Amino acid sequence: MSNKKSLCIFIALLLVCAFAAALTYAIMYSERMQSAERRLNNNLKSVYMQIHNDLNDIDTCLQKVSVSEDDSRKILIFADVWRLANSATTALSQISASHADDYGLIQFIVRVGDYCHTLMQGLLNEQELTRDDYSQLETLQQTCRNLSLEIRTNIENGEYPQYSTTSAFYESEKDESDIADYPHLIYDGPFSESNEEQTIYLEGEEIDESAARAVVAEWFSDVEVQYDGLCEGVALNSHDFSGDNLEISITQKGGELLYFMRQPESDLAGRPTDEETERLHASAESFLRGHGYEDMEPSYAQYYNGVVVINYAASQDGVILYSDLIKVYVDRQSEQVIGMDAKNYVINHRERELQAPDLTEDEARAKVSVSLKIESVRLALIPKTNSTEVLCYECKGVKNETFFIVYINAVTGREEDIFEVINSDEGDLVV
Amino acid sequence: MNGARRLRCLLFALCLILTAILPSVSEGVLKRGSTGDEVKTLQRKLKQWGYYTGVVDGIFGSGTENAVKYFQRTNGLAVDGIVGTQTAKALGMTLSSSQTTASSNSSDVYLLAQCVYGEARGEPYKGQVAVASVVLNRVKSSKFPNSIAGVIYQSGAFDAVSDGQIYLTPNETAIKAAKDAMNGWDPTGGCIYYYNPATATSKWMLSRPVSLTIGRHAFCH
Repeated sequence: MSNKKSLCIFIALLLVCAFAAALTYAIMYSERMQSAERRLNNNLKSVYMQIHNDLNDIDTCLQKVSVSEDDSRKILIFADVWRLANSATTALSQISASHADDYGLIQFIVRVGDYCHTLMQGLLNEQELTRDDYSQLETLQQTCRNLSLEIRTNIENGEYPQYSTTSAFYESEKDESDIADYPHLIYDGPFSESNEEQTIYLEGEEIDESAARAVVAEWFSDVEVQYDGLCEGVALNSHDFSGDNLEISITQKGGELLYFMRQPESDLAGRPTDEETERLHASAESFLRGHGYEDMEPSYAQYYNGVVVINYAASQDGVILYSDLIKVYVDRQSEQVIGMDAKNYVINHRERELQAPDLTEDEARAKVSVSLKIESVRLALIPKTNSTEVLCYECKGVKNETFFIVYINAVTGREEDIFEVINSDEGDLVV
Repeated sequence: MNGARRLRCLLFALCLILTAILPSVSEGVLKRGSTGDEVKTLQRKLKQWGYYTGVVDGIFGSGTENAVKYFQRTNGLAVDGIVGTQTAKALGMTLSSSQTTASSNSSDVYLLAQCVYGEARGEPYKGQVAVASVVLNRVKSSKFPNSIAGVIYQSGAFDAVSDGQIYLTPNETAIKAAKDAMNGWDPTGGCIYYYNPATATSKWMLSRPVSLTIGRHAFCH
């Protein structure tokens, strides 16, 4: 009897202990949660204030530009705006509470930075600011001032973006109609409205599913494929097909092969030997010729997960056209072509009106830094933005065992770009 | 609403448990008792080169262990029957959990692969490349941050980041999908969003023009 009673007391004591332990744990846990929440919110506040400061500084910079008469001063100010815009967009991307909230704002600030960067490059090439530029800059300055004031009011009223453990952070969503209108900018930079849309040079009639199926049959005579529908892409539409270990896409306009892909048999990685490289290239090149792609020249290659991806660029009169790129995937095991991505070629390929270079090759060589030992020079047409290309001398050289490619504008003699070639296990990367 | 939140909490807890367990299962080595795709790759390689005669079943048993020892003996490695960094390198393999070798050219590829794995494992291969393409198309767009990390960690952009699934170790397929996308293959035709039509509720998202649907995801721009 007393045995049973003591058992009861023991169990009761155990329960009390367990309850006390659970309570202590719960209190500690909730404290930790609160402290984590506070830390996160402090972080968000500082980020929000950063955005305010950046916009405020951009406002000041743009005001200074409007009264400056010195181009080198303007260049320094534009460089500052570019840096501030980058800092503000980085900060903004950390606080946006939903997909829709800040798209307009991020895009606006990116373009302010991009625009000033473009003006800066123009000034460096001795292009003066136009009256339109000044009036655009004034609008931008006004918008930045308003935004900065709005954020300051929010900060003063304690309306920071908040994180809360009780409601999901990303639940708030605005309609597209809530997105504020920001001024449109007209200029020619990589992020400008006119350049974000790609010019398509592909020509031809639009074809339907059965015509696309016939194109597939031309490429692959012996495979069964099913139709996956029309892919309505941003730049162009394509009919997608798939079969056993095969994905194929044929453009709706013109009926060109956009890509096909198979999975490789092995996952061999690392650089191949010279003989293997030669065989892989030979396989890719006979494939390209066999399908009517003439005058394609290999540039760099990458090796990973059982494939080598070799980049081929079209050439015209000895000038290599870097926009007209075909990527050929060759299986390392079977040395057969198992994939091809012709998107850039399909979009850009056309007969170019190539002007004769104003500079001779020797003049171009003389423009390259003397510290670089030049190994080869050739003419190349390189893409500058989505819609512009520049004729350059491509000078490959080496300095302290590091390879560089320097592009000298064949008309103005300016250095258009410099790449460093990094040799890795996976191939040559350019940065 | 409440139910959905509870479900989310539960999933999150499950994820936490998974992320806590996973690293201890695969500490960047394959040994007796390991299972999965990497073991299959290992067995295939050993078989190709004549070290292994058993079946490629993804289970590291005594047969596989003996084959690894045989391989190590023949290639002048320490004979322990465990595939660590050295043996893996000799085999031409990258072990996914040892980050330094997996992301051989940059941490960006690995982060992208993590995003693909967290968001789209179990999807068709084309669908996995498509998810990676969306990330890369965002990097190029003026509406989004201009780096891979900036885009992936943008708050609220990817569920796998919000619920922590991005910290799972990506498999070889996800890594290859990330590399194929980095190389330019874009099956989406330039999309910058995707959603699951079965669960999406955002009116704004549903109003975007859809390019194509692959597996469970609709891709739009």
